[in-house]
Amino acid sequence: MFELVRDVGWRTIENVHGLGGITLFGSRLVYETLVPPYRLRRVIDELYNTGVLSLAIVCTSGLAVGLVLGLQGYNTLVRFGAEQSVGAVVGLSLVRELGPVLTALLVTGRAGSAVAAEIGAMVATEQLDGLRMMSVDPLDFVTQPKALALALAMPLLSALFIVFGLFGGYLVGVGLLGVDAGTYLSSLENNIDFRNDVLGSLLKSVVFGALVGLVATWRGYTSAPNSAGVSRATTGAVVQASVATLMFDYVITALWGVGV
Amino acid sequence: MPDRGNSRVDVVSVRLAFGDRRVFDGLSCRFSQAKISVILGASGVGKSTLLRLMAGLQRPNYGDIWIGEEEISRLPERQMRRVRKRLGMMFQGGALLDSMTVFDNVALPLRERTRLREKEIAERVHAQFEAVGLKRVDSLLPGELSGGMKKRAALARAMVTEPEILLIDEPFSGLDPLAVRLIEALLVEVNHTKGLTMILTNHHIGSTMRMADEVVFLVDGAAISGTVKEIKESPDPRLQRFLVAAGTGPALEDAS
Repeated sequence: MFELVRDVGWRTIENVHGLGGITLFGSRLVYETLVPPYRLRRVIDELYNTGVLSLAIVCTSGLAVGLVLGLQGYNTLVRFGAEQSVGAVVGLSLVRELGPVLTALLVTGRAGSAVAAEIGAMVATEQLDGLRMMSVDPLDFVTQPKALALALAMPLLSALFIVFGLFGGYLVGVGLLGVDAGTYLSSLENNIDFRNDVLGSLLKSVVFGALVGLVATWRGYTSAPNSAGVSRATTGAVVQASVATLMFDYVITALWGVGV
Repeated sequence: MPDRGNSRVDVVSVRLAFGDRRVFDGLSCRFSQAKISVILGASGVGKSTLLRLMAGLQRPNYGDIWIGEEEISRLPERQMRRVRKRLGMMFQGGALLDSMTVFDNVALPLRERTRLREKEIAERVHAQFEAVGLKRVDSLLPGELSGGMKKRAALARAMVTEPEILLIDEPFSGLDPLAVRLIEALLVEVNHTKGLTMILTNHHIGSTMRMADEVVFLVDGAAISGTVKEIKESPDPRLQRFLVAAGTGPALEDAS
């Protein structure tokens, strides 16, 4: 019994310590983003690594999700004679939830894991210590551009995911199942609200981008300086960023009133 | 306070433990200004850790570390950045940034810490390349260099800002005898021409005996210091066992 209480206490202290650590780390990232030197060149390089290199997977996935949504939506709606609303079903599902959430999960798997692994490997090979010895702050030089690039890339990738998803729904609904093209598009236009749906979706993707950037860089930066540490950092970044994305999705939906 | 040269390093009563494992227990040693000091000792005795303590990358549990006239063991990281402008460090694996070319790696401290123009930076970087014997490596990535070239590039990066104190972790590990001699000659030349305080960790007894002005032998969490001659003639059995095993102690010399 004593050992159980001790273990619970120890884990609680560890978790609070970790939470404090990541909060301080995030505060420093924000500070380094706001004050000079502004490392625009490095941010652009990282935008290429995290954003441009994620384009293929995000666009392909968006198209596939749109195709499935179009098919499932049509098959369900046709039972009630409401197949003309397939555009609204595809659009609302993508804009409100699937666009930002699935993009965040995809980017976490592709770019977040790479960021955590790269920073972890830099810790293991003393590259961050090398920067410290040159009086260069590794948090400013290495992690801040990566975190900022993830935060900036996420809304753009999410928008692309949604566009490709809508196109996928259009292909199935209009091209395959015979829904009228004008009806599909007007159903989309009439049912998607700018404030509730589009701005809510944008807010979600910005928050998810910041979350993925924070968790991935934090896990890499604090990894143990060995190969097992890199492995744990990579896995931890994917798991924690994915879970945090899903939890924050609920919180934002509830607070912003998306879909209400 | 004892009289300290500007670039002398003093380690005073340092204690350091990782969990239950005690690395140093009251370690005290001194590294003289403008001399080549070699830290010697068996694997795992804490040679690299001692270098990291002097670089402020590791903080001791107790004790003081003086860089010249400044005690650094409790300095916050922001102030440590100022102190590190006086230091250069060559890491065992080089610690060159993988994503940057060799030129950009060596130019990095100049770009970050000085207001030099690109042309002046290029001149200084190429002068360093020449000093360490590197040719046509500007556009190569660290991954494309051999072990010896990587060490030379790391040395160039450590020296490009002209530090007062150069900390060098295992400069000869993984090198063939010819490369060892080349780097050894290079370090001695730099020490003589620029008057740098050089502190090396080393497994390589032969090079230690050839180049060191002072030797600090680490054993059981403490240090035995002296000149090469004093170290060779030390009656301490732990030191003698190490030297005999390395093939340079009196026992083997007598036998030969």
